[in-house]
Amino acid sequence: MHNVMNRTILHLDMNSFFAAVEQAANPFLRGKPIIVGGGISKTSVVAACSYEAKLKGIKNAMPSWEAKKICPEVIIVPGDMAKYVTTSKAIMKYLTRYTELVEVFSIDEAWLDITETKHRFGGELAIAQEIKKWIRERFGLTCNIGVAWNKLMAKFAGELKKPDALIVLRPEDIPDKVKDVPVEKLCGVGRKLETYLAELGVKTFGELNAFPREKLVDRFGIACGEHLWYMGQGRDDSPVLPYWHEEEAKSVGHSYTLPRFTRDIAEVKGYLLRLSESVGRRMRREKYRGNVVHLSLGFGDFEYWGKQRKIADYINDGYDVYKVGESILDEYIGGSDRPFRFVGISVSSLIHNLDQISIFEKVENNKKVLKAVDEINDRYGEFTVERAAIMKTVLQKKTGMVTSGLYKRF
Amino acid sequence: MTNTRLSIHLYTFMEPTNINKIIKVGAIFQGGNIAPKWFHYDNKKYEIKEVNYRWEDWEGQEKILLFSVTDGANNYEISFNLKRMVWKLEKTCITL
Repeated sequence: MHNVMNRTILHLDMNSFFAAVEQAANPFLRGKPIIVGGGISKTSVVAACSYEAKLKGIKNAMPSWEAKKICPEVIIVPGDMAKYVTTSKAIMKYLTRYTELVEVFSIDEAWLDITETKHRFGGELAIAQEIKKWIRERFGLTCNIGVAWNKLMAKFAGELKKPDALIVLRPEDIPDKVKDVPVEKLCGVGRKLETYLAELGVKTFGELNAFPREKLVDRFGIACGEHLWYMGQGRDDSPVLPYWHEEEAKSVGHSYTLPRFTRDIAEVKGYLLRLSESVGRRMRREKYRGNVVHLSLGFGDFEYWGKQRKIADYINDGYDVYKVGESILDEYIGGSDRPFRFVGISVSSLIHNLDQISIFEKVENNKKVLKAVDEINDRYGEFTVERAAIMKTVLQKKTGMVTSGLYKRF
Repeated sequence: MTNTRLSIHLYTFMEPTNINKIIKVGAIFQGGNIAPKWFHYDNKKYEIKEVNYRWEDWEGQEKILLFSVTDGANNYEISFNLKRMVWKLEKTCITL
């Protein structure tokens, strides 16, 4: 077993992934500022932008109209998840040449623990260079690779210079090489935490490194304060959890940001039913049932409301999920007339592989119907057969959604 | 002109033109790879100069291979349904 400071971890981060794939797929987009997003409507946002667009001041998650204002010549390209998922899966599969310990962090990021295998491939630098070369030759894409002694610092290393960089950090680099790097570059330091740290005078990694442990615990509590102190020391004992690592699901849910604000309750219920059907389908596919339904509603400007309800039966039929969600929604509507922008539904308190035979014929018949519908949809695609009530409710494809279990097999 | 013939759209919103029509394609199948060389669409033959990108998608249980190709002047998306053995011109992607 290796000491935690002697591990060798690689962090791979694809550069402007969605936009770069689009540029690789269409030579007429290369060298031009492009953004991947839903269009130039008021509600569309930039899902990803090319480096040429970034140089013009465009940032991810910026409204598309604002991007267009900053850079009128920017080209807006609709996202195509199949293209990104195929590319991502091929890259993740390639990484397993070097180690089985590949943790897929997101569609365009992964960690590799090469501690035990690096000697077979000429060391960490040779591996990192080979990965970069293969990705460039196979897809015409570039990536950043950070190399360090743990996951936190490997990802941090990869943030130091972009794009197309390979950066190696060693424990002895902490005092000098990274002391002036903004603390927000650390994985886990979000905008709020960054603000709280700034109030304590901590803006750089070096300042966090030198900040007294007790003061962090005083300010953030024992768990978060200790964790931050460890981060400041460049310490992270978390293992690389390989792609085949099975994690028991705690809940199954789907959510949707509506294309516009609406007070039309029938419309919201239409979305809720479609989302519930997707939840039910996933639960049946993964052999789960649950008896706690949680409804989330959003009103724009990061304002959300949510409530959950425990029911007697363990369910996995989308319509049953919907009925519980609808009852929560009806209660909410009684006390508010705010327009909706977001709806989400999830089922938790899950149990696996429980399928009791009911004494009621109606319940058993319904199971048979669901099984037949699932078989048709497996064969011909999602929502080939669906409830008539949701036929007029169409969810626009999400640009960045990665389905669960995608990387279980490449 | 509403003709789906490959006309140039002067938009910086590069919405591809959806075609979704079965086409005749000349392709080389070799060593597990498929290399499309030309396609016929609307009585015109388009020589494929380069396959820029390949990816795959599913329609139910039917696997679809997709190719982003160029004839040197414009970009096209063509697909091959492995089960039905059918080629389609999916989209034309024409930008400034």
